[in-house]
Parts: sequence; C-alpha cells; structure tokens
Amino acid sequence: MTSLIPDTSDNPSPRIWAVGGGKGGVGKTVITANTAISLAQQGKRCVVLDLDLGGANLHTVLGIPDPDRSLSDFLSRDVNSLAETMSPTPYPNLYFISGSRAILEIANPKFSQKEKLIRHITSLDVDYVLLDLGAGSAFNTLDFFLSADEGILVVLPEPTSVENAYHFIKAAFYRKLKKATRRTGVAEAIDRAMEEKVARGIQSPRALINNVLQINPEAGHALEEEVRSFKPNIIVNQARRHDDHELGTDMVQACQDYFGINIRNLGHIDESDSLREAVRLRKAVVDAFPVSSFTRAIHSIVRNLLEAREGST
Amino acid sequence: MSTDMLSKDYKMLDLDQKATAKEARRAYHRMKALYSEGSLATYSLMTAEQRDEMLNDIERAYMRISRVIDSQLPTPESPVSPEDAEAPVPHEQGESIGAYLKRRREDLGLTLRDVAAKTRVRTTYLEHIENERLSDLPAPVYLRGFVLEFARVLGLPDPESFTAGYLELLDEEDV
Repeated sequence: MTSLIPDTSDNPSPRIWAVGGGKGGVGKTVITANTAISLAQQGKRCVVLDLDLGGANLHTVLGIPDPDRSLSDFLSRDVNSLAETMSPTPYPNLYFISGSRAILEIANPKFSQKEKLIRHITSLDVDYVLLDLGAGSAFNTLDFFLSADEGILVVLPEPTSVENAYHFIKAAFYRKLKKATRRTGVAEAIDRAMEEKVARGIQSPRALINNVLQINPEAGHALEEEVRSFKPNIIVNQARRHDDHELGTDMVQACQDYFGINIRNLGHIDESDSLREAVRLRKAVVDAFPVSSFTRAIHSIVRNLLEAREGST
Repeated sequence: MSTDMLSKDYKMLDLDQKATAKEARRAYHRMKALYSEGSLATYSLMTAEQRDEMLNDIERAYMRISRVIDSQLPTPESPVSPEDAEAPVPHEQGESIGAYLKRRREDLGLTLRDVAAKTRVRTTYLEHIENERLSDLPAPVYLRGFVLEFARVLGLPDPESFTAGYLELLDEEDV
C-alpha cells in the first residue's frame, strides 16, 4: 500500500493521536474522522483505527461500507501484520482499520495482545495513526490513550461530560504513575501515601505528589517528571453559548490549580447542522462543507496539534 | 508581607508580577467566575467547603496584590481599601450614582446575592438602589441604612457622604 505522495516526515514511525472522552456520544468518532481527513488533505498519510467497540461506526462517518478485513483478523492471527487490515477510503492518503468484529477479542485482550497491537500500530508505514477510543476509562482505553503521542479528550459543555473528562484525566494519570513506578521504584512511596489518604486528606494528584515528596523526595521528583510529560488535550464540542467557548481555558486552569496537571485546550467546535447534513450525504463534513464553521474548527485543531509537537520537541 | 507569599498570590491569580490594576482585576474576575458555585469547569471538582476556601484564597490574594499595585500608583484605584479615604468617589463621566454602585459591585466580582448576604438587605432592594427605581424603594429612614451598608460592603472610601449623596438624589427627584 504505497502513496504517490512522498513521505516528508523525518521520523519513520508514525505519530499517534488517540481520541477519547469519558462519555459516549460526545462526538469522538466524527472528530477523529474529520481530523484524519484534514491531515490527509495536507498530504499526510493517515490511518484511522476504530477502537470504539461498543459502537464501531467510523466507516459510516467516512461514508464507506464496513470492510471485510478488520482488527479482528489481526488479533485472531488470520493475518500476520496489522497493515494487512488497512482498507482504502474515498479520501487520498487516508486508510481505515475497522474494529467492528473485534469486540470480543479486544474487550478483554491479554496484555501481550495489547502490547503487540501497540507495537504494530507504531510500525505502520504512515505519518499519522488516529485511534478512535471507546467511551469510558477502562484500563485498555487508558493504555491506548497513554501510548499515543497526543491524547485528546472530547468534552461537551455539560456537567456530566466535564465530570467524566476529569475522571478520565485522573484515571489516566494514576495509570501512568502506576506504570512509571514499575520502572522507577516509587511504588512503595505511592502506596504509603495512598494508605495515609484519610489521615492526610489526599484528593488530587498534586496532593499525592506533595505527600510522596515528604515521604521520599527522590520518588517525589520522579513523579513530578511524570506529571510534566502528561499533557492531555481537550476539545469542547457542540458549543452553544458564548460561555461554552471559555470552558476549555477554564478547564486548563482548573486542572492546573486542582490536579497540578497541565492540559492543553485545542479549541471548541460550535454546534451545527452541517454534521447531520453530511451524514445524510454519506460524506465527512470537512469534505462536504469545506467552508463551514465545523471544518474551520477542525483545521484549527489540527494546526494546534501540529504546533504542539513543534513546541514540545 | 513576604515576597514569597506575594508571588504565591500572583500565581494564584495566574498573573504576571508586572500586572496592571486592570489586568489584576480581570484575572480576579476570571478566577472568581471559575470557582463560583455554578461554574461548569469546577463544579464537580470540589466540595462546598473547598470552594469557599478557594474563593477566600482568591479574595485575599487579590486584596494583597491590589494593595501592592495601589502603593505603586499615585491615584489609588483599588476597591478594597477603605483606608484610602481621601480618594473622592470616582464617578465616571455621565454615570449615575446607582450605575456607579453597580459597576463597583461588579468590579469586585460580587453578585447581588453576595451583597445581600453581607448586608442583610434583600436583593430586590439592592437592585432597586442600583437602578434608582425610586418609587420601589423603602422609606428614606430604612433606605439610608441600606445604602450605607451597601457602600460599606463595596469598600467605598466614605460610605457616609456617599449615602448622603444618594439620598440627595431622592430629594432632587422629589420623592
């Protein structure tokens, strides 16, 4: 599967962007698909991988029938490499891996299977891999989120969605800490800090780190390092009111104040009719309505993500 | 005041140490709104007590920062420093006395309800006072106390003469 457009990236292994969100129905799939098309339109070779197992419908958003090959064939070893499950899409540079029949296998994959999948994802011969994660904050979802170069959370301007997003951020953060402690040996300090939870009233990651710093400064600094490298992104979707546009920056501030975690606000997407209309036309919005506010928002989000990379390296 | 504490205050409001009074006020409003009771971004993060504590911290940080900024300026502009009593009531051009109260209150990030809680004057009266809806105001004997409390809570430099000025307004209007 080769492209006519030359690979301009210096890095042979693809950048991975994972799109999640604590809640179902927040627009993860639509945003993933349109972000991928926006990248593909810029000449980047992309694969979108549907890991939304409860309701895999990425193919519908891309306007194609569910392909014969899927992730399931890879997990059950019917094919040897993940690349063989890639299907073309109507969009140049954009490929698709269906997850629709992989529900059983991936709902509870063995550790080795998950590691193998992540390994294969990072060795795909493309520039970008976009993962459409399922709802919820199960360990598997968190692991895919954490394995990505950029983790992206979609939030609606609703109390439940915001609450879920915070829950996801916290869960991902603790998961990351736990994985890190296997390497740095700070597990004991964390466990001790968590045991003293009631006595010391630990509620936030920042408080946890402060507590570990007291118990074991070295371990505390290792944790601080982990915090620095944890920078999830958020997108506020279906913004309706002017206040909704402030939600992203408000959440950045609140995460900093309350968790001691830096998150990045990628921007907001206003609610619009172009989405419904595009699905009816069996096209993606950025393709069907290139000058809509939705499309402009997606392009801006992609720009922010690309700039974020430049800023961080 | 230790510089350490002050730098914490600036951090609290996410402000640069060179911030102007206007920037400080804007940051203060932003943080107050972010941690107010109905805030979407923080509502699920904290208990009522933690929220109150946070709001108090913000309040104190802003007060300290305002003092520092005021001390650097020839004309004190900070709302929360009644000791600077020499400052005349800075009416803006063409601004009515009620509108001034309202602006002052909003500058402090206070809702009518906040003021009502502190003054024990009902929000409807506070609103009438701000809007100078004279026919709906209580008898002057009560009104005097209401306006005085209002002015005190807003930290106006001279609540007494402000209140006198407000009551004169009534005379002018012949109510």
